Amino acid sequence: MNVETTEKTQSPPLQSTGATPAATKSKRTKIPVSLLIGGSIMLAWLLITIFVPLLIGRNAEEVTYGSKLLAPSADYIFGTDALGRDVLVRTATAFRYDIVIALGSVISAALIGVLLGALAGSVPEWLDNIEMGVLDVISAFPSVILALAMAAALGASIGTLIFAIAVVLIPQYARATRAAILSERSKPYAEAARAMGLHPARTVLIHLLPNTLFGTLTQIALDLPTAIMIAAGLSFLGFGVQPPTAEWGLMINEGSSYIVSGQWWVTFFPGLAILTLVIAFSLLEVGIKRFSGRQ
Amino acid sequence: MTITAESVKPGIPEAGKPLIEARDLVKRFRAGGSFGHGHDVIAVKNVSLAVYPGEAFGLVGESGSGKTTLGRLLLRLEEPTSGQILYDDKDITHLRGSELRQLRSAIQIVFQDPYQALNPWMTIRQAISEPLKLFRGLKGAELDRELANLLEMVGLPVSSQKRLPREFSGGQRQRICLARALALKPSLLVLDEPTSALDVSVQAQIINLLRELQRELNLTYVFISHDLAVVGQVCDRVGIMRYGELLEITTRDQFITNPANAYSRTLRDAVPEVGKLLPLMQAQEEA
Amino acid sequence: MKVLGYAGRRLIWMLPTLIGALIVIFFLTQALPGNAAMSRVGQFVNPETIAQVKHNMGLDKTVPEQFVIYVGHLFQGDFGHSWKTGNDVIIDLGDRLPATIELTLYTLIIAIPLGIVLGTLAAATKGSWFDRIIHTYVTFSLGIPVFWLSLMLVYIFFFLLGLVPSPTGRLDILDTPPPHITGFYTLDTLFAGDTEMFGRAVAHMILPVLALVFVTSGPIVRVTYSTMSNQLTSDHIRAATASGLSRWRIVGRYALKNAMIPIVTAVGLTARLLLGGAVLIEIVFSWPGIGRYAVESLLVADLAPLQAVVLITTILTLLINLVVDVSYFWFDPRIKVA
Repeated sequence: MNVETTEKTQSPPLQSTGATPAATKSKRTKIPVSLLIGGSIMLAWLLITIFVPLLIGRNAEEVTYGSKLLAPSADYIFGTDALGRDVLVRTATAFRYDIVIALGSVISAALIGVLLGALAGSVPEWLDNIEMGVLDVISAFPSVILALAMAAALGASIGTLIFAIAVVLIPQYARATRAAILSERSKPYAEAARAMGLHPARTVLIHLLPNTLFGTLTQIALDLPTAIMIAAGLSFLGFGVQPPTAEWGLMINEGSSYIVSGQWWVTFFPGLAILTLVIAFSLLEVGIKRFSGRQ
Repeated sequence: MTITAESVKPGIPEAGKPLIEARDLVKRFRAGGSFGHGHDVIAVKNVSLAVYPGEAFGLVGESGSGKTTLGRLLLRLEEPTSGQILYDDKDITHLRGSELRQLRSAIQIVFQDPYQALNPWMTIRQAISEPLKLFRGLKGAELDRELANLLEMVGLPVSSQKRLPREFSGGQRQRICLARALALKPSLLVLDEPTSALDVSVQAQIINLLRELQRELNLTYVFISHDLAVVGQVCDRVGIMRYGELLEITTRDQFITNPANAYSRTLRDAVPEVGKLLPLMQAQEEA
Repeated sequence: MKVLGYAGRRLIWMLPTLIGALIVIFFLTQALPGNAAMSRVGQFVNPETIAQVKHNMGLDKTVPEQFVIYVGHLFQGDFGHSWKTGNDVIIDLGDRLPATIELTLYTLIIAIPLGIVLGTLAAATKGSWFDRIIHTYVTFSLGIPVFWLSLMLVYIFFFLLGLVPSPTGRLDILDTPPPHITGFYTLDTLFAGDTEMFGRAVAHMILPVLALVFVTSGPIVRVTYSTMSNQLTSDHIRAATASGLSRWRIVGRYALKNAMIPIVTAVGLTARLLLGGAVLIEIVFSWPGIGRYAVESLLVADLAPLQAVVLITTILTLLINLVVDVSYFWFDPRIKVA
């Protein structure tokens, strides 16, 4: 993963780009390697989750009697778990739940957070302060613990996980959007919109907000791996996805008691899956930054 | 010097009634500090003036003289701390909400920085048709015609509409801003240092355009600038501001030949092209 | 002196947030399935006794009144009573908090310098093979679930290699803990003069700390790398190099100081992450800390301990934020106070 910062400003460069309006983008922009690799991994997972169970011929909950805790072999490429279920099929299937949880929570958080941030940047100061105060309270809790408490209070399920993780992620979007809106507001084009007599809501939504979206997209790319980690962590503790559904964190938990007796595969493969997915997201994020930087 | 109808350019109809008037305007800003320890900045101190229809009124002064703030007050982009603003004899000082928005189509502004005055993600077409659609209710072929008309008026090819602001130079962007401002068919145009961010050669083009447009559309200008040479080319009367106060109002000719106020004199003397302006004035009179 | 004043002001600003957090904690635990009265006296009691207990506990009062009572108790140091362990929560916390702090403290002591050094070295040797290795390290550090890493480490180092003891907590199963002085076993065993047990305490800590250090050093390395890269190419560093100062001296004394602010931010972030990560680690290694305490209580709907742990971790988070903010002020005198 690329460690150097690529700082991306939101306003267009200040130099004029030539006197004629006929300037076109003549060079085809190259797609960065990181984007390709990251994208391929994601694509691979999509294919895996759809086709592997079909190809193997078993599903995630299927218990084959007499096949408990079998080491990886030709029959069971990833081995079986304590209930005799195929670890490969379960790992492949679990992708669906984790990706749904990740996308669901992050996108909800982004939508709600951006709207809240736009609101905060547009309303009178006292309302802004109250809103930010509430968000500060949410951010005061360590994320895992807050998500844990919420999941426990509402009853652990995929829906609750999405909700709990979204709540944890919302404050950053709201803060970033608010800051961006406040900074865009002072720019002449925002004033021009006001001078034109546009309704303030229109100004914010149509003029200001789109210029803040780049930061939001970057944040989304950063939050997707975080969401997966929290979901897996919560499921590991027993407060996320419930058995018998296949989920990586849950599978790691199910296999944890057998580590000390040497049955490593139940825990190993789901964790490896998480690792590959998180790396894919990181690569995508770096790739997106590079790609839009080139434009 | 008192402001009378005779001091205005002759030949303008209704020269007697001001289009926009400021009476004893004050604008105070609270700057810095927490918990009420901040100090006030009085940007505009008891300014009174009147701008008559069809004229180009210049507001000159150094940075910080309050001229920009005054311009913004006239536009009601800011609300005065005290005093009155009258537009067409109506008190607009405390207008709000939809009434204020209605006023907007009468008074428009062109900003100083053409690079930031256009929304980076909107095409020229989108930027200019927005007011056309929303406030003049145009659509379809009528919209296209008017859009083309506006672009032509400011000297831009009609094909520019599909492009984004970043594809244009500073001078071109300023033309686009003009087109956008004119889309609402305003009577009064406030121009806040419209040429200060542009190259000298481009400045001349824009100034000529402004003068042409004023003639064609019978616009009234409030032209804010610290550049006296530019003001001399466009304006009929000038108001000189310093530290928030309006020191004097005089005609352009008076200002160049014999300003009453000592500060005005120093301003005028500081301009190297004053000498060039005299022949210009004479050429205009002969024209 | 100015620093103290700034800290004081920030502390006051923190209060509304703290109160808000208390409200959330209170209501959240009310919403948890589980009966507060039963959590006091256990489940196998008849309804009249429960009603009586409810009355004694003030549960038949209105919710706002209950909240005020709750806060009042907190001020007196009464965190409630755990029916599962049979103790007052404050006592349980006293036993368990040192365990968690021991882990997190050792992790931070190792991870922070390690992260800064690695990040700086990588920035200084940009483009080299070392740089690439560090990049990979960071990717993995940020991408590995800490609980999975821990389990894999247990498999490799315990099961396969037999180098560390089994993950049964802070000491071997048959050990009795040393007399409580600090609560840190690594210290208390030394104070008690028991070097063998000291060895075992350390041995039990190796894997959890290793896992935590690996996972938490990533952000620190990353931030250090990026700020040091910026620093090293900046003008004032170039000037220093041109004036003949040795490279390492430049890096160490000049570049690093200016880089401290983003690094401190990352450290704050890491510390906050640790609070959450501790929960997961403690489950894997059967570590008797407050994280495990919270989860176990949650599993049996024992509410008071959960409330207490959430409260403590939240206060710690706010304090960490405070320390980070104050350190900005200390490092960069240009930052205005307002």
